[in-house]
Amino acid sequence: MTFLKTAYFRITYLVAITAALTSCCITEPKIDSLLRQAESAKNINEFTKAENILLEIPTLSDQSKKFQFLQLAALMQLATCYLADSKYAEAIAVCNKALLLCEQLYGPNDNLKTSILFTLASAQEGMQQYDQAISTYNSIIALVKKLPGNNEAKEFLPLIRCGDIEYRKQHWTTAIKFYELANHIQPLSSPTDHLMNLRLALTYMALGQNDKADKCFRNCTLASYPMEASFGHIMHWYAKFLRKVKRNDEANTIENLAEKWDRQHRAFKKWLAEREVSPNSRFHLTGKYVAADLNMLDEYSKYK
Amino acid sequence: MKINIPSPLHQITLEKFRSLLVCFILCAYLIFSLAITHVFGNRLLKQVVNGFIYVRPIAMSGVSDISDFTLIYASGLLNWQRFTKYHDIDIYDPFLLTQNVTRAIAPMHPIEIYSIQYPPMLFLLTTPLAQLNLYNAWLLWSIGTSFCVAITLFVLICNFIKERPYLLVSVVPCFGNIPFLHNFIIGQSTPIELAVIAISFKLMLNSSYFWAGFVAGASLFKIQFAPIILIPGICVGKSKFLYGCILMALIEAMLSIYTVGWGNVLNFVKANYLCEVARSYIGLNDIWSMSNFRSILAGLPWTIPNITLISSAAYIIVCLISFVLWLRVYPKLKKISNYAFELIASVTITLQVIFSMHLYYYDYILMSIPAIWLYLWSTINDTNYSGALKLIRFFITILVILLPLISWLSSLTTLSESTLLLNALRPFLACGALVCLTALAIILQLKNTKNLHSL
Repeated sequence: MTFLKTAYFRITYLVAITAALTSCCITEPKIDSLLRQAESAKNINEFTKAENILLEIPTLSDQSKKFQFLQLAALMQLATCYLADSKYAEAIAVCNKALLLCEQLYGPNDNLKTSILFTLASAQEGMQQYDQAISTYNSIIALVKKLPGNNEAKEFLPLIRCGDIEYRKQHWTTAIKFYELANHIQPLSSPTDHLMNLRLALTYMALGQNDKADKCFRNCTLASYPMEASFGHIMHWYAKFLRKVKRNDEANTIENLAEKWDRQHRAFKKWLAEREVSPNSRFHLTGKYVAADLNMLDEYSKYK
Repeated sequence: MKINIPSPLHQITLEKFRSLLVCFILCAYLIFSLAITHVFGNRLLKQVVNGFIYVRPIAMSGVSDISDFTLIYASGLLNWQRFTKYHDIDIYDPFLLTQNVTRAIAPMHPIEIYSIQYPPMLFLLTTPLAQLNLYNAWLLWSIGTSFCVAITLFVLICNFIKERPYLLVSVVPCFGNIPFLHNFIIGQSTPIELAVIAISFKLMLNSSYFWAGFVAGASLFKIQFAPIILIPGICVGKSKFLYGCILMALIEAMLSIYTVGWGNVLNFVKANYLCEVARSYIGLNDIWSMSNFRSILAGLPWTIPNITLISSAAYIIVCLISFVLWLRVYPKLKKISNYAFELIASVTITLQVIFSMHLYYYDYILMSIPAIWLYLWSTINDTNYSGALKLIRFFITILVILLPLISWLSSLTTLSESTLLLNALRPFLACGALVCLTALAIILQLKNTKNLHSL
């Protein structure tokens, strides 16, 4: 115990106290604080607020590289905000600005460019500029192929999105081709596996290939986790399909199962809400983005 | 002590029964591991090869979840950028870090803003990785961390291999448990901490306190687990240990300043303050998704206020208990048992693991040290021990052998509020039982000696 009274121990103690006191005087950089506020606003769907905050940023920063990186972060965030807010023309303009800055900071062939291009293509999709969007997705795939190593995972989303465009245009066979290519890349038990299979099921349904559609629906239910919101949603879709092919008994069973899962999911959400779960939590955001994806598919189904 | 086993096995000793049971569990475990590898191995390999192991898209809008290694790799990318081009970059800035995560995973983009709270010496390991692509970097990192687990195993059993060569079989549970596989797949850094702690303990056992302290200084790399080695080091190795520790801390400080720059050493303090005290970046590290006492409190059916405060108090109490065990109990036990150090260390390590403030499932790899020590102690010659102690040692052996199997149970359940609690409770209770049995064994040994003296 005498050791605890030695000078060494006291020095360590003093250093710890000094570090603690120093940290108390620290404040977050203004630009970071704004970016954080914008991110939180975006996560709770207050897009206009997020956009206004992000538009303040360029006036704050000077021209040093340190701030240009953060400016790029702000531009990328702003583009996704505009995209979520359905302001596609603004999103395209911001993406073009971000592309220029990205090339300036990281060079012409940096992988970051593909993320900005992906947002750009999504905005083009929103503007119904389907041909441009497909060309942008293809340029992403071409860029990714040039990267060293195996980057198949990076081709997955552009392929899906190309398939989505073809689906929207009711080019079912081409859509299937893109989806199958993506499906070949994606291994089972990935979080998007059920969303992938749902796309395949809906397209096969549109093509009237009910056996294949049925198989894909079954894969969907196997792949999605029961506690995910999407599980109930997909089950309802499956039940609709079963009714369409006059398998009413099975449809009723699936409907009951869907309702059961919906109830369990609501209970889980309630349980989470009672605990420390912020809107920035990965669990909260996952549910939000998956729901948005499913809503998009709901919208597609109107084209059938 | 003899127990009756029905015919045709006739009467066998507890020692033999234990050996048979251990063999049976290990065989079952080996078959189970092979079956799991057969079923999931190809899928995992495909994920590794095509890159879904580092990034998993959540929705088709591009938002994705990343593995821990992607964050580690991004930190290397960011520091390499600072090192080569832009010297005034704050490498602890969450938005710059997230930008580099995006660079690694694009065209996908991360679902949240990431912040790194590791000390600057992490960048010493991660910056060279930025020269490789993500796949090769992960491969190098995972081989390195597996090597750390192998070193730990070697350090702990090397003195016993000659007499007990079958101990080499412990490679199977050591590498085939879920915490190890999680570490390997997600590229966590806990195995590095494990090796540091094991080597330092080994040096302390050899009475090389200065070098033990020197190695233990590296445990500051994962600051939440540093007390596991610092408390016994300070109590047993005293000033020699502290000199070594201070020397390592100074070397680390100099290397950190060289690797990340003086400004970024201060930025490390700032990042930790903003995340942990000011809670500016909430959303990361949800308490209920951890696997410790704190997460159990958060996962209970009824809501408990001030969970962080309660679990902090519990952790402080555990640290105090550790001090008492090392300062008061260890000197007494040392006189009567050759395994006094290992027994006390097993209790304190286990307690500090389960009551740690920041512990995920993969961090249970730290339990390798007490598990191996307790297995060694509980399977040595029974003749020196009384009946009750023999029985306790029997249960300790079985519990230790079952730990890897218990770890597999978490992978067989789907996510829900009850399974979240169950997944946190299961390792907590298993480790808690191990602590209780070991503590009982220590008390019995001390009591037996007291009785002997009074006679």
